Formats: sequence, structure tokens, C-alpha cells
Amino acid sequence: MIEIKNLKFGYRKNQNVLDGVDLSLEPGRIVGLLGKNGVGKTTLMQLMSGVLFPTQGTVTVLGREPRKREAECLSQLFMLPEEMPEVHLSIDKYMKINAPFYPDFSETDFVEYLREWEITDLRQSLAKLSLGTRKKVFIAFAFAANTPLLVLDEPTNGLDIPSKTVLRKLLRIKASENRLIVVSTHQVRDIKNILDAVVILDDTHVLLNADVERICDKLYFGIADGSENPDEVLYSEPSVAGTQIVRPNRGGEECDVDVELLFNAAFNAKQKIMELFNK
Amino acid sequence: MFSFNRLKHVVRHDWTSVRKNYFILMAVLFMVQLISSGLFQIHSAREIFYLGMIIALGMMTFAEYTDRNRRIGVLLLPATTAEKYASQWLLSFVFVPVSVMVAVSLGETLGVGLKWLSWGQWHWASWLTSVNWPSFLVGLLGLESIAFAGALFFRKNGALKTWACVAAYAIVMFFVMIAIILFKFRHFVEDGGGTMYFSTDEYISQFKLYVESVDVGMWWGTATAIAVITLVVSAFLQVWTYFRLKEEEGQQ
Repeated sequence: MIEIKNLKFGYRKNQNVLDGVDLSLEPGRIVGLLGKNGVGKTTLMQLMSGVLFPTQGTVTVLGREPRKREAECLSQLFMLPEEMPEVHLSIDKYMKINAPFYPDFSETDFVEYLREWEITDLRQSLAKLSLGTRKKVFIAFAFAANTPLLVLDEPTNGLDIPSKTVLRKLLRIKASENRLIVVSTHQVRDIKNILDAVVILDDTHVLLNADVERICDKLYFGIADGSENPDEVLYSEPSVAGTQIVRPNRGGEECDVDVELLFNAAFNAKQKIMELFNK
Repeated sequence: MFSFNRLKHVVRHDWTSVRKNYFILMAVLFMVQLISSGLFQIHSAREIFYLGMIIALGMMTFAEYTDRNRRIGVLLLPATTAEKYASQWLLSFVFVPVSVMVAVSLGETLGVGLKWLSWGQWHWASWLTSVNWPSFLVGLLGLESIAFAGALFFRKNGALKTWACVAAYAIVMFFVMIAIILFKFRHFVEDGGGTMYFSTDEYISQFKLYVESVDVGMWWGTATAIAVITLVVSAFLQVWTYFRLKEEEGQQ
């Protein structure tokens, strides 16, 4: 669905935020785009959506270049920016003027998703809503647009704990065979257990791009039992249950991917991680 | 592919985002004209029309592109660049001038009506009946084209920056013209075209005589030439705006 080849982009000359990025993302997944602050997650998402244009290389979405901003291409993707615009319209009016652009938009879905967040009065002005509530309205609209590609930039920012739970529930509902959902966040705990694949960005390039099954094949996440060789431990941190570790999977060991540990391991042992996944 | 059905939705989208400001401005223009022509009997409809146009274009043309967050939304709106451009063009070149004209004319007519009730004088929007339409429309087109291009060129406070640039250009051109006239005048005097002057008053009176004798068309061009230049510049600015919109990026 998304093909990125040799992508370069910089806001200033000779200062590339992304340099030589190659990435291929298939539908039917929820992909977590992770990275430290300022590493280029938002930039990459804006390049995927056609908000920004590559300095070099190509980005194609469903076989079209988003930078051309063809109506047919834009109607197949929805990008939710991190910061919400201040819109002086009622929720109802906002839906009515934007919905006609998305052929698969469902008003029933929109109302249902809002109800999940206990927003029932659609005559409320968006400008008078709190930041978090406004974000919920835009997320509900993004989901109701039913586009094959959904790009969510830091969707959990500004949401309280129950709202994050609803968001995870909706993400699971929206995940389907024909849809790709890309979620960026630097708060990895917010989206753990819902990701099908993880892309980690580091210093202008992709450090890791793998689906959860492959990560489980390659890495073991668990509590240290004293049998492990300290040299093979990629990352460890103390916890109430004992010392949590990430080490290469010795073969067939079952475990659940802990995205936060994976993220820390990827930055703690970059070379080893790259070697493991490039084998 | 350009779609008129999608254009209809884009127009509706753009109009909805500016309609509140639009109605407030129209009400203000109507009231100002009503009071000035009715109560104070000042015939200021033309000046209020131009002032209204400058404010209206500044507030409404590419309004959503001035804010970073709203810009991302409008750039990603599933419509072609041509449809987004056409929507803004209709708003700025057709809808805004017609409605400003209507608001000012209604204000003037009602003001005159109030005056008629008191003194028995009546006329229907005199400024529209006395206007030289070809010159007026060409001037309007020039004004709209500058505002149109300026709104997209300057992201923040586009209207203010655009008119500041136009004013700066006009001031520079004015002084350039004065310098050229003074240069010609000096040669005119040195070539024996005038008497020598010994005081500032004499200098000014000589200069006045010289300026009056000069064929204005030589300096400023004829009305036709100005109209042609305005039309060419307007066309260029409109084409430039289209390509600027096509290449517009929503910076992070």
C-alpha cells in the first residue's frame, strides 16, 4: 500500500531529517511508527500524506504519488495531525461539509464512535470544546471516513486514560484486511498490544521495520532467570516482578512483544538489533 | 480530473469557514455607508467600497491557508488544486465584490432614503450610476489579483504585508517619477527653457509652470496603456497563484 524508495527530505539545505529511507507497508495492519522526539515521525507521515514533498526519492500510496494531491488519492487517505485546528463550526456542520469528500464516510459510524466517548450533542461548537474532546471528534471523523489508509500522528496526546482505552478499542475495530493504520507516538505504552508491526526511526533512517511475529521470532522479552549470558542481553531494566530483559530468541521461545522494551533495546544495542533483523 | 460536483463541495467548505466574518463585515460596511450618507451626507460610497474590498479580501481569500493546522486540513481535502483554486477565485473575484457593492449601495440608498424623509431628496446609489465601468472593473481586477497572490505569498498577516508592499512600491515609484521630472526640469532650465531662479518661491513657481506644460501621457501612459498593463499583471498574478497553490506545503 505504501512504498517509499530512497526518500530524502530536509527543511533546510544540507540538513536532511530523512535520508535514504526505504519502507514498504502492506494493508491489514496497525503499524506503530516510533522514535525519539524530533527524529522525523511527523515529517515522514506528512510525506506519506502529501502535505510535504520529498527532496529526493518517491512515496507512493495505492500506486499514486500523494505529492500530486489528486482528489482520487486524497480521498483514499486520512491524516490526523497532532495539533488540532481551531474550527468555528458545530460538530454536525463540520461533518456535513467534510463528509462528501470521502466516498465511504459513514454518518452512523461517526455518531457511534462519538457516543463511545460520550459525545452526544452534535450541535456543540468545536471551538468551545476542550482540546481532548475536540481531538476525539476529529479521531471519530477519521475513523468514520473509512479510508484504506489512516495516518494518526500522536493520537493519544491530550486524551485521558479512559479515552485512550476507547481509542485502542476503535483501532482494533477499524483494523481490517484492506486497511493500513499508521500510528506515531513517543508514548509507546499507549498503543502496546494493538500493533501488528513496528517501525522505529533513528537519526534520518529506519532502524527497525518488522511485524510482531518476526520480532517474536528474533527476540525474547521476559524476566531474567539467571540462565542468560550477560553478553547476549540487549537491554534490561528492573521491575517489581524482577529484571526485565530483551535478548535474542533461542528458537521457539514464546513471549509477548513489549514495545517499550523493544524501543529501548533498539537504541541500546542498535548494531546487534540491525544484525539480527537483517539476517 | 476537474469535477463540478466536487467544486460545489469545496465552495461550500470554503464559504462555511469564512461566512461568520463575512456577515459581520457586510453589516459593518452597510452601517458605515448608511450613517455617512444618511446622517452626515458624505458621499463616500466609492471610498468605502474600496476599503471594504481590501478588508474583505484580506479576511477571506485563502483564509484557511494562513493557519498551520488548518492549512494541513485544506491541503489534504480530497479535491484537485484546480478545484480549490476555482473555489477561492469565485469567492474573491465574484462573490466578495458583488456583495461589498450590494452592502455599500444598500447602505447609501437607505441613507439617502432617510434623508429624503427629512428633506425630500432622493437618488439611487449615485456612485454606481456615475461610475466609469471599464476603468472601474479593470482597477477592481488589479486590486483582486494583488490580494489573491499576496494572500498565498505571505502566510501570516497576508493582507497587511501585501498592501504594505503595494504602498512601498507606490511611494518608490512616486519619488522615481519626481526625480525624473526634476532631472528633466533642470535640463529644461539649463537649455534656456525658463528664467533663472533666485529663491525657493521662484523655483517652485517655475517648476509648477514646467509640470503643467508637460504632456502627462508622456510620463504616465494613456488610460488604455495602464489598462493593458493592469490586465497583463493581473493575469500573471492569477496564473502565479495557481502554481503557488499547487506547490504549497504544510510545514511542520
